Amino acid sequence: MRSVLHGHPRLVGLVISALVTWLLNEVLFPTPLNGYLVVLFAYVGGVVVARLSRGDHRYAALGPLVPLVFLAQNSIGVTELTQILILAIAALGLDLITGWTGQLNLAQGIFIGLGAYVTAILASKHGWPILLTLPLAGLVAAAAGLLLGVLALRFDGVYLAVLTSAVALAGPVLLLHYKSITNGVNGIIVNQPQPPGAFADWLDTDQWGYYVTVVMAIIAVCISWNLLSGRIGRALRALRDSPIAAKGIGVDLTRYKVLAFAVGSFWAGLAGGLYAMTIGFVSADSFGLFYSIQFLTIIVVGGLSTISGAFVGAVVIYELSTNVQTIGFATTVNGVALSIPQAAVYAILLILVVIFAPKGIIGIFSDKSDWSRLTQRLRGGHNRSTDVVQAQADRPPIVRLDAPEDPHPAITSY
Amino acid sequence: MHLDLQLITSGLAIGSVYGSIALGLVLIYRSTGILNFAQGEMATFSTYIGWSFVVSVGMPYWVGFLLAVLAAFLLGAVVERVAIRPVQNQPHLTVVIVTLGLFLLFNALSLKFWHSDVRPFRSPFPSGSVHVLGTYISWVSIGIFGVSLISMAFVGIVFRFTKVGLAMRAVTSNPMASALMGISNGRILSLGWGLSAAVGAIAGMLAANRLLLDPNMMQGVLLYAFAAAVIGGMTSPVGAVIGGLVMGVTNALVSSVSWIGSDLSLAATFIVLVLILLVRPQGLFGRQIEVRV
Repeated sequence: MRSVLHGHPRLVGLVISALVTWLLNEVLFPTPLNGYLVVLFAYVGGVVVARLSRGDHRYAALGPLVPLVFLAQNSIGVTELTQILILAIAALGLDLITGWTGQLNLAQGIFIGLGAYVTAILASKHGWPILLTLPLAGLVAAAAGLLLGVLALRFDGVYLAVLTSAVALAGPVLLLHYKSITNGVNGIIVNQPQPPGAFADWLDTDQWGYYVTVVMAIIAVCISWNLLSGRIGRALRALRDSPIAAKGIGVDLTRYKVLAFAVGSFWAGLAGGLYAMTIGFVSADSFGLFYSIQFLTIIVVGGLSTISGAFVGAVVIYELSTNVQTIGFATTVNGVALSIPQAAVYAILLILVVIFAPKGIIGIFSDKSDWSRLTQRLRGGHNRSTDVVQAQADRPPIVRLDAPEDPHPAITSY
Repeated sequence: MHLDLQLITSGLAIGSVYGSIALGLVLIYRSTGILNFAQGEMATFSTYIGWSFVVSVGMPYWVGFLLAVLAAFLLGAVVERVAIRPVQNQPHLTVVIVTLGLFLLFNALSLKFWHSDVRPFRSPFPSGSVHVLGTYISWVSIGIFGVSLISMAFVGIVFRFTKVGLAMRAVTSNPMASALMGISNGRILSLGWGLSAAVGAIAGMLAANRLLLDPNMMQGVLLYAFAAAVIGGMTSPVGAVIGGLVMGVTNALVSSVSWIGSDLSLAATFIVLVLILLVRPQGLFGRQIEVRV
């Protein structure tokens, strides 16, 4: 059995986590369970099995997507899952800019807002079919991202953080100011699209929105995957880790920085279009600095520079920010109600995650973590990536017979 | 654009508040390379503490003021010890996330304890104005400007002429060597955070009357302070203060232009910032750092 599976470790992770999702949803929790919990369990399950069977944990994240396509039939948590996926698409874009390329961007939220406004204006003021507006929303945001990318060429690190947080704070103000286009504080109401003819019998509006989002998420993952696993991905990482060395070996910094900003903003714009379509209301207040910070926390909590990290992070952060009151403490001390507000719990958890799992949730399962050492011991085998290190450690120490062993060897020159 | 003196003095007053917050940012940045997003929210939180002492408890203003500054100092030191030190050697982004988390945390705590309604906070300065050079300058502006300058000068003196200041500069320039000389780096860094939080608290207390005290009071200020610190070159305390004054005056002048108005002044001020940085990316007072691979 194992030898059969051995050749296809990635598939194993994918299939197993798909199975776990289905099992959890159908068997263990016959009452409809919130979707995000299922995804999380499935992911963890998929990772565990994938690691034990020498699989690649990164691919396990895609598993839950498979049964999720059918999960929507329960129509429980469909809107929730849709929003999670939208967050994840935008986070994927930000990860491209911040995680892979190393450009700290605090303005992702405003690009989502831009996309949302494009869809809302075209659909409700000009009567465009909403699906047609989605790519356009992405393109408009990409154009704006291109501009920011060109500015970013001149700024680095902290300076870029200041610049982008300025964009994040000034953006909503500008959107509110031009009332004739954006309707000001009243926002724009978008009619949620009805599923087209053939689907109308078995899908309601929410489910249709969900499937559109799923398809977009899959497209986003596939394109990002292709982009990052090849030449461009290597160039971006080189650019992040050592710009000067990258330039030295012939990476065109200008081109790749701008490219990262444009593509990352494209996903934000697309997510914004989906947001307008599924929420049905767009208002500039929703896209401020706090909203942008959310995406940064998603990618860091999920795991920087990992595609699945964007999805795992989106699940966790969405869950934290919407349902955290239920974890909030409410005790009374000497008759005085002592409770910690939701946002504070969220902030504390965020800080704790970053302190104790600096590589994010994905990092807990990565090659050099305690977790992988544990599974390695459970298997009684060696982890591929640690084999070399292990081999060096296992080699007997070189003992010179002609010299007495010095308990405190002096530091010699190198 | 009216270039009148009244506008400029009121710009200088609020600019000194920006400068104080920027000074706090720079103190932390130059010693640890951390951009503290929570600087403004910590200042708001301390201002609320001062408000409670003065308004709820009924202490004299300046006693409450001192207590708030003291509380801010402790708060800053504790935050450094508890939240920042564990991630100090992590990548830049991780530390940024922690300070963003602190930003959210203090915002939430202010909201929790003092709610979102705007609190009036009387100014300790007389309400009239003084006639100088053919224009009227309010005592409030003079007071804000004066107290900010005194506090910033105090920080400068501590840095320049005391043993603690020497230790702080030593830790900044070479942590390893200063540790070998017997300086407790951790304690000095805590002290730095405390000092910067205290300066922030002073700025918050001074600004509370003008900006109206609510949990989001400092968010706009923080951004101007970022801009001020960046204009000042991120590592220069004097640059940060001057950058703050520049931002304050620019903002006041830009707001007075009829077609921009206070509505778009934030955006317009940042266009000024971007223009300055496009010409001098290292800021007005920063030095170009040569980077090697």
